[in-house]
Amino acid sequence: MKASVLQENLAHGLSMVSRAVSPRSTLPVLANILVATDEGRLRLSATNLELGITSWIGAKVEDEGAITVPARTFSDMISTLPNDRVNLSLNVRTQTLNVRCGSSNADIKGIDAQEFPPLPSPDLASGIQMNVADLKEMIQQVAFAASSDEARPVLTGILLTVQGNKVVLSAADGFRLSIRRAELSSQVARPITAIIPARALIELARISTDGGDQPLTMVLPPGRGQVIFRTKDAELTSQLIEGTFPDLEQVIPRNSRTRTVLSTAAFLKACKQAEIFAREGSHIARINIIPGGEMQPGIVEISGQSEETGFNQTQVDCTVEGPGILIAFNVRFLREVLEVIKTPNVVIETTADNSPGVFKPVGDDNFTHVIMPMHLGD
Amino acid sequence: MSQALYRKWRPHLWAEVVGQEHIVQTLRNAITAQRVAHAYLFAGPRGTGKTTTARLLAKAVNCLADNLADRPCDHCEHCLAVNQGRFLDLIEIDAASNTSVEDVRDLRDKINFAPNQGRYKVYIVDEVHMLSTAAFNALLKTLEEPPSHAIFILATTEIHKIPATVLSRCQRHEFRRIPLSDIVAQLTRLAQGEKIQCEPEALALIARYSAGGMRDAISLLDQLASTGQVVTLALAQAVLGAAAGQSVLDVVEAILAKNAAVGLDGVHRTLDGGSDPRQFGRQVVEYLRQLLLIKLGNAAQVDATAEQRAIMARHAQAFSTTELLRVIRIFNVAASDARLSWQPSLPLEMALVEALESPAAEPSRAEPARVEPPAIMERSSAPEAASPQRSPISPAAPAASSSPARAASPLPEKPVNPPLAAPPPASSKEATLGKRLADNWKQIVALVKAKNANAAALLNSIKTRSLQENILILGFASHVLQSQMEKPANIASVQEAIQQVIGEEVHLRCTTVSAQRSAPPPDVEHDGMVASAVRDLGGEIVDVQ
Amino acid sequence: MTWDILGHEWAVNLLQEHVARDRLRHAYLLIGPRGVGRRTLALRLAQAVNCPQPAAAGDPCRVCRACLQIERMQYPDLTVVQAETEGGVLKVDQVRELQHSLALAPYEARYRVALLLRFEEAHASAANALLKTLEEPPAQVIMLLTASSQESLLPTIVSRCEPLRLRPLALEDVAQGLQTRWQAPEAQATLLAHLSGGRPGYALALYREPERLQQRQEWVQALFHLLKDGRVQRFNYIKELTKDSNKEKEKPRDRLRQVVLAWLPVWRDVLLRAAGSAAPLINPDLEADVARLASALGPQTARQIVANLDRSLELLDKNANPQLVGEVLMLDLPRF
Repeated sequence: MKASVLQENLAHGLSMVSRAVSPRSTLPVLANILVATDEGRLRLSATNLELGITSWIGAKVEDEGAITVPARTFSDMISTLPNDRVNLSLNVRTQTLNVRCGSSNADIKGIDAQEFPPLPSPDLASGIQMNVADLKEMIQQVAFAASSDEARPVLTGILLTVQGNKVVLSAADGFRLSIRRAELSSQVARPITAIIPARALIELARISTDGGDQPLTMVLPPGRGQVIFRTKDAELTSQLIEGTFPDLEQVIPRNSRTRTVLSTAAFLKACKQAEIFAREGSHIARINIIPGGEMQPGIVEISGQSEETGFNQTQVDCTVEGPGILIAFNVRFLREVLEVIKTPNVVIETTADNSPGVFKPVGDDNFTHVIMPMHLGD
Repeated sequence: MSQALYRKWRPHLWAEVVGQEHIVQTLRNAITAQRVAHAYLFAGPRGTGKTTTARLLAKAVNCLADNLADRPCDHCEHCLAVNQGRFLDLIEIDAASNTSVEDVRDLRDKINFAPNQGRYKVYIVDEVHMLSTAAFNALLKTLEEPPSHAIFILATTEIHKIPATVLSRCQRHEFRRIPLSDIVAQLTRLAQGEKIQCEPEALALIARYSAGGMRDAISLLDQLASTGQVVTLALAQAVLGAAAGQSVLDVVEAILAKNAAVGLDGVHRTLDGGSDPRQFGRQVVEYLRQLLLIKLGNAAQVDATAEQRAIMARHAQAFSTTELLRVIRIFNVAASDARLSWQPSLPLEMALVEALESPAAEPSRAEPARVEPPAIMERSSAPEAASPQRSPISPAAPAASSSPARAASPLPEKPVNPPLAAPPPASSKEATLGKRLADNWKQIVALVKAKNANAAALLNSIKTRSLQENILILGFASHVLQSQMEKPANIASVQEAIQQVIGEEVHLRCTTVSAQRSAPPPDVEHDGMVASAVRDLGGEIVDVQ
Repeated sequence: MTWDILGHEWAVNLLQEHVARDRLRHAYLLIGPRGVGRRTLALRLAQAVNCPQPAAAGDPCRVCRACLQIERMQYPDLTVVQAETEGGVLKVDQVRELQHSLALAPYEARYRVALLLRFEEAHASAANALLKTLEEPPAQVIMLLTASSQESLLPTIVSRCEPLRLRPLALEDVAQGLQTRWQAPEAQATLLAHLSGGRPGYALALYREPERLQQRQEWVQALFHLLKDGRVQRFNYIKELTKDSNKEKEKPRDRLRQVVLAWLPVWRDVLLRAAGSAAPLINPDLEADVARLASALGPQTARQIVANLDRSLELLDKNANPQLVGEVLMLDLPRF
């Protein structure tokens, strides 16, 4: 292998794929980054067998070839180089990668690229086309509701379902759930159901910072237990979680007695204040919904308290349909959902203090969030 | 991949639970009367249906069937979700991986959330005995006043590890070992359902082997069926490593005839024939136990043919009861010894040889592996050791020529070591020296202090003090202390003081003893040796590192 | 059959059948003494289920990348879990980590295989933590456990697995195998077969590392010397043996354990001969010494020494001070 790349591009690519490096694995090659020429570009790949990231950077390729080199050594070394052309050449016999840039010259000992776990070669034509910004928003509205409890691995994932031209992401941790729907520009041939680790999708949202309307292809090779997200010069692969996901549609209450609409921003601010007081204790925010009268708006009282810090209460104007209700929620859960609702107003649907509360953006039917209320005790 | 039979045949309805009618009835009544408790404790041996029953209860309380008596129905949305492990309001926690207080606090916080879809949030906490004491305490409050939507089912195989405070807050159900006939009946049903051909005798053998655990029984049948052959008694015996009855008889005959060589050949032949050593040990124990029953006049409890009874009667006659108990104990150890795996036949070989040893020469102990040689022999320094009436390795124990008293008892029939925990008799010289050291210790320390305060402070920190010949062994709680004491100046100060007070030259050695173990106060150990404590008392000296 | 395993034909046949007829169990427990072939059998099963180009169902090719990587335990879909060192402790965190990876679909193979070696070394919390996974693992997971005995595991672990008991092979089979497969000279093959007590893995290790055999020779000779020595020399020997300043990484504890393991078989042989048994010795090369000791000491002393040696291994496992353990052994050793 013989190729040259710009230091800046190389450093950027390395910082991107480094997130998937697994330094303490029983497979030594997983602590390495695959460096390979690939149709006139340089491919950098890392995987921890759960999550794999690839970045392609522009390169002048003289000789084809591939090697894996220790991620730490290679990244640290590249980051110290001047922003100049970096020449890479592989000594196949010694499996050593020579790196030259300006006045520096380094030989990095590698491991044969054959040892690197095989990378998927997705059939992009069979993939689903989306755009990066839309997918990112979907992930942000759902991923936080996934569980971090490994005892039930299925719930640490996000359920992806695709049918016709509808795509849905959903997540639940047993105390709340988030469902986000979207429409695709075209129909898919076969329906898809897969559970993707939330961690992988969060990573995807993180690495696709730039690109806005960039197209993205999602491929689920049949029978492979993998999902692949590919943009022009990056790819993220994740193993799927095995198992059956709970039927979340069943958990969403079909009707409600009280429907309350209020300002998202005001509600969020009130919750943040309540959290300051509640976070030392039970994390409970009491939501007291008081219907208004003729010509008079309803009021939502949001309060938080703990024995150590004291008590806080904020009132927010609202419109209420149905009877008043006092209901308690985990205050962090409230804040987290309000932070991802993009519309000016939010609607809360409640029935009783011991049945789930439904949160939706007003004017957007694609997002539904449900939070289980807390038992208030005596 | 084929699903294990015990998973495939896990009961989905109350009626399918085998052998725990008393519990099932109580729980069904509670469901019908809508008087379900908020905390249950299911205790009992493995494979008797604790987790299964807990899941059935979780299904029943959340079942959507209209008729209370039909719950769980096993076909409503909620029942199906539980069956597939995707019901959000059934939370199975394995206490083994969540043993800490934080884990329980986390649980306590989460319990306050209302259920997602069911009437109740059901927590099944398996292996609950693994919780730490602090975790149990943290759990108490929740068990005392759980929110009305919560049900706890704690399950354990080791109820003795559950604090009384937890027990008293739970409705307790003891799962019993499933009777043999119930297991056979269930295996027969299952074999029919799975189209497994089998001999009834094979199923009976499996049932006996599984000791009242249904999962064990079904696993064994599964294992036999997986050979693809008809499950015959012979196959069952082969796979279970059960030796033919004759091998057991051969070994017992050899013990009675006091013929070690024949006995060892019997053992080797049996093992070469494919029997499992520990299993064989258990069979010997079982046979001897039956002899014991006969001896004690309970022959009716022994299940055997007339021919077998005749042999057993003869064997029972030939053993004395004490002797029988001793041999049973010896083989029981061999059957349960998890060690010595590098040479699987060794525990049996040792058991056989030990069984033939003159019982009086050896105090019988629960763990023969720890039984000591009569004493240490150093023939050159022990003229009596050559006494002709004794075996060539007669027990004589002069630790050194200077301590003839250690030559021990001239009577080999008398136990040389006093039974149980008493330390071995040290030489009288050691004993007197030790006593003098102990009596004058304060004075010695005072003398050291006058010249070398540092050394005296170190002496005051010792955990153990013991004497071995004329070596005084000081046990310290840490390496740091030990190495400070080992400085030549400190050693010299102490030696000098001892010389001055009791007029003896004593060597010093420092060692580190376990920090956790509460060592006896130094004054107690005036005549022991650290080494003999390790040897005879099963004590442990542990590196702090 | 291409499993190429010395002995254990019945186990190989059974497992091959399971693969070929798609009757695989979700958990197998391979029980037997160290070096008998537990891990080799487990790895072969892993190859049999995951080889992408088997000669026939259940017959791994053993030359493709997957087979080779499994053999080296460097395969993405093979997770090996074991105590850090032999005689160490398998920790609960390792089990949790395993559970995390088992929840995921296999990376490239049909099955994710978890290989838990020497599971008797698992901490009680680790063993308990594995119970749920072992009872109902995810669909594409096969759990393979190895252990020295059933008694050394929680009964609840055993009853969740299909156990396969691997017994030591006939000595002739080991000797034969060493000659035909590894071209060992006949005399050496016979000696190694005896020394290994029918454990091919152990015999092969001795064959490949002659220095280990040499080392055993030295330790055994030292034992014979110590029998003649007085206490001072004996204590000096132990002191030397358990010195910490040794340059090698080897710990005093492990060194003493190795020595005890070299001595144990000698005393077991003495026990057999003293009891009048003509069974094959573990140390045929020491026949004369063994006979001499046997007639001088008698079965009772021999048995007690074996018991003491075993007890000292137990103490070492429990972290007892090695020097003290060695000294106790010396105190109990007869003078001869």
